[in-house]
Amino acid sequence: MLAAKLNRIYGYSGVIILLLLLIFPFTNDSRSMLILLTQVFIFGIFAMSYDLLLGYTGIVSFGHCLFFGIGAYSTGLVLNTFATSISMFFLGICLGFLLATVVSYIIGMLSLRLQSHFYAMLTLGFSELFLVIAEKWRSVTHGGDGFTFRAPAFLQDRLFVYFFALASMVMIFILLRLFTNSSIGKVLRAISQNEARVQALGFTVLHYKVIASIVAGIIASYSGALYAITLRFVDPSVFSIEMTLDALLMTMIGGVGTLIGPILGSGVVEFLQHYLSQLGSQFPIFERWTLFLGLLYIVVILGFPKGIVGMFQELSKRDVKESKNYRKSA
Amino acid sequence: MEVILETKQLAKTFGDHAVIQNINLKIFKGCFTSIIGPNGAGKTTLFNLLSGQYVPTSGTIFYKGRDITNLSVAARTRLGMGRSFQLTNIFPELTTLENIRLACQAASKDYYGFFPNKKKFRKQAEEAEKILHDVYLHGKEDVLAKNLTHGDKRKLEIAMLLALKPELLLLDEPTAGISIEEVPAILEVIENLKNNPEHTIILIEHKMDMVLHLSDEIIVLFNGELLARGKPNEIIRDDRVQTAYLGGVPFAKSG
Repeated sequence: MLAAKLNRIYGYSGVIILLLLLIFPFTNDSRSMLILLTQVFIFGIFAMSYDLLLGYTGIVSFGHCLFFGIGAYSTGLVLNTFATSISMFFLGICLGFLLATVVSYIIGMLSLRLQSHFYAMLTLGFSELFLVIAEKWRSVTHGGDGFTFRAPAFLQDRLFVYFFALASMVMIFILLRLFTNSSIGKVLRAISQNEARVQALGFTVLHYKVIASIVAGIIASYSGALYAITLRFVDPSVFSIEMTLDALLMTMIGGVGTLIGPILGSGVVEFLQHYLSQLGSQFPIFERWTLFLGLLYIVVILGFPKGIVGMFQELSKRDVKESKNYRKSA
Repeated sequence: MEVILETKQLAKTFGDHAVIQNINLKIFKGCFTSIIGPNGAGKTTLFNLLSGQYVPTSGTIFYKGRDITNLSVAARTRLGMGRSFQLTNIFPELTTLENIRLACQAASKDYYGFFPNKKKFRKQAEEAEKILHDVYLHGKEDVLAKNLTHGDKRKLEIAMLLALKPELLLLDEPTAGISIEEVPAILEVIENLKNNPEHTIILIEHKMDMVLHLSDEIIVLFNGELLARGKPNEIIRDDRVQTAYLGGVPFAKSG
């Protein structure tokens, strides 16, 4: 089968890219590149969690940064308040998971029995609420300026953080792949296509949507924790709408309803942001580099609504069709 | 005979308009009952009340003696009530087999697995294959449901219902919108359903020859009320039915 063969080719190229990423730090000593790639991994995780909602379940969220921010603040605050140690780092992550679970459960139960835009508005509302809390509750969050904190010794090494983020991304990719192919995952996919029919098959749709919302929240909070630890700094911008938009656009560019898409999208967006803003020193127009990203988004949505991965899938389908026709005529 | 489904004083109003009123029904186990009536008589609304899509304005519904009036669609399905839809209601981007497999997954109560269980899925897929054969859809396993012909979509609709292994089947116009050539195949599928003694079937249908051929009992709805019920030959001779539904012309086919 040609399709299977193509899938194998994609699988191999994935492994090769992974190997290249593993040896990259030893062949290249550009510090900024290392940091940039670490960002790609972290936002890849964040965008995958977003796609679990948007692509797999068909739930639109306007406030996914909420969970990202919860993860970032939990880890930052725990490390800042208590001792700087590995156990505290994990405590911070666990605290983020717990908060993300509670918040996503509450939002889900309140809004997911209604139509999907109620979830979108409620997440947006909650993320604004947390933004205000982060800015105003100075005694705990240090207000709008944010705060720096010390990371545990092993996480101060850029190289280690790079591998840690890469390993996290690969692990979460595998876990999500298993999850999306599980009984729950198959029902989620069906919900995105025809919710009423899923209900009529005897599945309680609300439970599934809430589960998706919680899983996405937990993973987003993990990416937020990684983000905080690489910067060793947290400020309210983690709760800003731009974070959510980044996740949305990475997912759209890479390919909705896939797991590899958000990772690719994260790569495209992060690299563009990096290079376009660098060009600003030569061409003043590139100081407004978000303009160009905006143009790219418009082109993608109009021209390639299924993103990079969708484009490749179309290509391989066309190949299969052509080979079938060929066989018929032969 | 055992009563499997019963309604008492069932009513549904939308605004000021009473779509269904005063429906007292008793459906007996193993019976094939058809509901007929002109367009707008409230047939589909009655189905929506029975299967839980709508909440009745007043009245109660009993399934096997249990009050199910306030149960959700999903809960009723789990109790053994299944329905097919008048407007084709499938998962367009999934393959035919996957559509049915999902229903098999529901029937085997495989609800909350966080990790893939290949063995379970294979078993469900095998079951789905069998059902695929029962409704004459074999060879179309890997076709996306949206690319099926309309007649095949109707068959898929019934296949998904079958996969749930319901005891009470609500069939809402299984032949709606399909061409004359495809009717015999659907009819055969329904006859096979009927021949299973476990099945109690309620059918909404406009094709009178089919209704007369299949039914043990016919219920006539008119303006949301129960006009008549009886054996097919009684219904044909009933004067009220003649004037109200058939407009005095026996066996006129309405839309």
